[in-house]
Amino acid sequence: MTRQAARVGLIAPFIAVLFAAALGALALQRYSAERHRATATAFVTHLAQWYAEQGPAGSQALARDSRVRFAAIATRTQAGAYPYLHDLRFTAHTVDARAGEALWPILEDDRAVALAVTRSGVTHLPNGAWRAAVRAPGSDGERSVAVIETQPLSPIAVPWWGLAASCLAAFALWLDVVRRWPGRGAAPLLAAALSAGAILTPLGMRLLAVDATEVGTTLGSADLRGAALMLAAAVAAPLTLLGVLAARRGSGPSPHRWAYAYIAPAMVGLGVLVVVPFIFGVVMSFHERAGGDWRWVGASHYVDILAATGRRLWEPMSFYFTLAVTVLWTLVNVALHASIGLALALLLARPTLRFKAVYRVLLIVPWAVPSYITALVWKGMFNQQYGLVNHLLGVLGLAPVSWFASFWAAFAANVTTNTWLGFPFMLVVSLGALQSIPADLYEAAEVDGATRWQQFRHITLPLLRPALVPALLLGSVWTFNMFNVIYLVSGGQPGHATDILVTEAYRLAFEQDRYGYAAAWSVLIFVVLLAWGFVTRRAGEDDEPSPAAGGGAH
Amino acid sequence: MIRRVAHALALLGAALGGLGACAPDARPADPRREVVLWHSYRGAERDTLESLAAQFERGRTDLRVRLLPVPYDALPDKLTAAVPRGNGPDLFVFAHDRVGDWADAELLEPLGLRVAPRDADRFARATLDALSHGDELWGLPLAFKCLALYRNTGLAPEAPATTNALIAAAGVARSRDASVWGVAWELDSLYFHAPWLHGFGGAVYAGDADAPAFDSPAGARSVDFVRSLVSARALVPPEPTSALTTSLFRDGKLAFVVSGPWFRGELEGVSGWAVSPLPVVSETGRAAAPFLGVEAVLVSRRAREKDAAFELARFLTDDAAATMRFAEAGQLVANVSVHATSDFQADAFARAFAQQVEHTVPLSNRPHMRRVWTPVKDALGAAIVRGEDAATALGRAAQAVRP
Repeated sequence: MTRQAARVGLIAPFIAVLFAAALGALALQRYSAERHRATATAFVTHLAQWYAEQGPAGSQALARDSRVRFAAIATRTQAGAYPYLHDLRFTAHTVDARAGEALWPILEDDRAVALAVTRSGVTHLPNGAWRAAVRAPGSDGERSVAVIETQPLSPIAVPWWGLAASCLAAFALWLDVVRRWPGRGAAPLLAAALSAGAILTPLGMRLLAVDATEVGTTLGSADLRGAALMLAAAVAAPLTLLGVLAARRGSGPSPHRWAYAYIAPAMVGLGVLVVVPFIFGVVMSFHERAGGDWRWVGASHYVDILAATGRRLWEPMSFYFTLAVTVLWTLVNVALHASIGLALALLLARPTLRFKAVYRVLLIVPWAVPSYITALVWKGMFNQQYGLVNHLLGVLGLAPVSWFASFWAAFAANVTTNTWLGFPFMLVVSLGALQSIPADLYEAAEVDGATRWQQFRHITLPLLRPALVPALLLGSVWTFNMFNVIYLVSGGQPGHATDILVTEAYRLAFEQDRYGYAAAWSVLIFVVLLAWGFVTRRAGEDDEPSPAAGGGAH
Repeated sequence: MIRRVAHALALLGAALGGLGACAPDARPADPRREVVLWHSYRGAERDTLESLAAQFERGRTDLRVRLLPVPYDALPDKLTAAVPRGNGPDLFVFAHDRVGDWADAELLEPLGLRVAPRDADRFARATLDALSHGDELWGLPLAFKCLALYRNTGLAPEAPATTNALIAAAGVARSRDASVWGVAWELDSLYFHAPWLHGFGGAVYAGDADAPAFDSPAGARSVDFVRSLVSARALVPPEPTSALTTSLFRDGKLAFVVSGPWFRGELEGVSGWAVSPLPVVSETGRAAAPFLGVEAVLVSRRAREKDAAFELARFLTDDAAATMRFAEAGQLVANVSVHATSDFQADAFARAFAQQVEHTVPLSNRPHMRRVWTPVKDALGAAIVRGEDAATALGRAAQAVRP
């Protein structure tokens, strides 16, 4: 082990600790923001309720409370014949607690306040104060509204800037170490940057008057457990990465240390575009949205999905039924794509065939047309009354089929469309591989008296395998998630029976607005594909005589 | 070299930290305050909005309006992302059906105190009702959309007043020529089924609670009625998608179509058609009442220029602007005084929809409504297209959406 590797071994845990500390600070901030919000809301609501019950008599008492900036009572009456239009008249108000003089702007500017409190509820103001409005029932549609606004209740700053500074500093430190300048020159500067970030952060937040409780609450008023889960995932990911990195570096000096700097932008991109949304999705799957807020529901979405709550285990829209349809859909499609593609490739590979280029172009056309256009065209062709397919059946003397009324007909329509879309890929792959098989193998086989079938079975197929297996695996993943065809051709008809897992997830989220449930559903799809990935990885490796051929399987 | 990179990064970090303390308020150099409006208008509607905005600016030295077109499908997501962070528009134009959702999520500014009853009187009552949620008003109506009855005047010269008249006229057209169909709409869509649901005395919700009520006996009767048109009377073409309906109607192979104002765009170059309000349901004597959709201007809760935003909203919805929006963009505006003008009355198309507005049910703007569409679609498909028992199918859908 070189000195450098040892140094990296030392520094990697340091960076990990830095990351963990930064994320910990974030979680702590979020936790305290939540607590602050809860306490302040309870406090200001309590005061407003008290005031609403006391009426104007409570004004003096409130004026003496140093936490209250002002309090007012207004009467709200319905305006005209519209239950949702109203007038508001202020009947009492406190005085400024500190200056002891009549506060207002409130009466001159009552409309601004009144508008803010026209709905009951608690608002957090940008300056850190809290304002509550409570309605008390009155006579004849008249209702009084009590309004309380507190003095600013110290907002909690979010260490965003500090966090950014820390991360950059950590990265710089890491680069510095790799380049064998531990602490020299850079270190004091880094320390300065870190402390500047830490000091300026709360100050900056204060000056910008950013609403502390609204920054960082990516999931609205999310629960602590959700925050903890996110934190665990966020810590685990860089730690794993660093662990891998440290292990690699520990095993010997790497000549590629620059490579890490080069891939860093891509890693950041991957993190922002893949890792973060993924973590977000996982967290979301433990929540449910209710009235604009996210509520923690634990694993209940998973339980509902896996136990098929509310429906039979084996009917459309249950996870198991949909999974079975998806698997069947994948198998049938891949089998058809491969066999048709291979058969056509064998025909096209015949050396005696004329106009080969023309056929090749024509056969690739289905692939060149955008899949949703193809899908819509096929959907039209499957129309019961006016579609081409039923028209052709009529010419053959067969009865027209209502393609989307029964499961098998709709499934067949989907499969037909996707086969049309899918075989050209297999054709191209097989054709390329076929052309790389040396002709002398066939000549030798002919000399030995092998039949055509024996040649195909013992020469063509084994030599196609390295190219075909990765293509099949790739095709299976594409088909598994083939959203366009299912959504546009059958649209899940009849009654969601032909929906596959991804189209169902889409419906759950964007048609039924059940984001949490759909997120859990998507996580389960991920698990299924992960399992499939492990299985196929094996298959890909078994079949890897050359690195190029196995590449597609990973 | 790499040390320099490291130093530069560290400096950047420090600068970022410092930036927080001294970032200047980013405001445009133009001394006028800016009101930002997001909309998804195109073509004539966009031009009209632009000239109205220019009119609003005229005579005001302190305000300018910035219009930002945003694709309709992208607008809700952009809003929910931007407004809570204070980055959204001051006001925007959108359909009313998300109002409940957005009001609960505190994206919208309540207008109940700002709108005086006499200002409210200028709108058709239903269009304003559609914008209320929890005894508060959340927007001002610009235009409305609902379904009405299109007919081929060659096949059906008279507008049917009742469903029996509709069935008779459709039957006559069909009996004259077997390739002609009687009537069509998207059978399995709740939006298109709503007129019959309401006409038979049903409703989507029982009251303010999110409890579904469409599985009532009235709901089942409405489904049975539609099924009789499809199976027993064979008046409806199979699989009546909007594309098929359009092409049949254009080719003169369809006597009646239930559709909305957007259908006129499909009929360019086609003559011999007319629009009338939907008929009265003969069994109940109630008018078939479609859902009412309202295009509204909504003020953001986090608007920087709330007063100016409201002023602009009121300007865009007042009678003069509405007259212009109707005349130049053909909008079916919500202002009753415009409905009374001779230009409007001379336009048979607009008149029919204005009559239909009197018999509509505002599409519920509560968040829960979005969960209803798909289960009801499945139930209608099962009952009308595949012949399942209506009460069972609707009951299953109600079970699925019960909170």
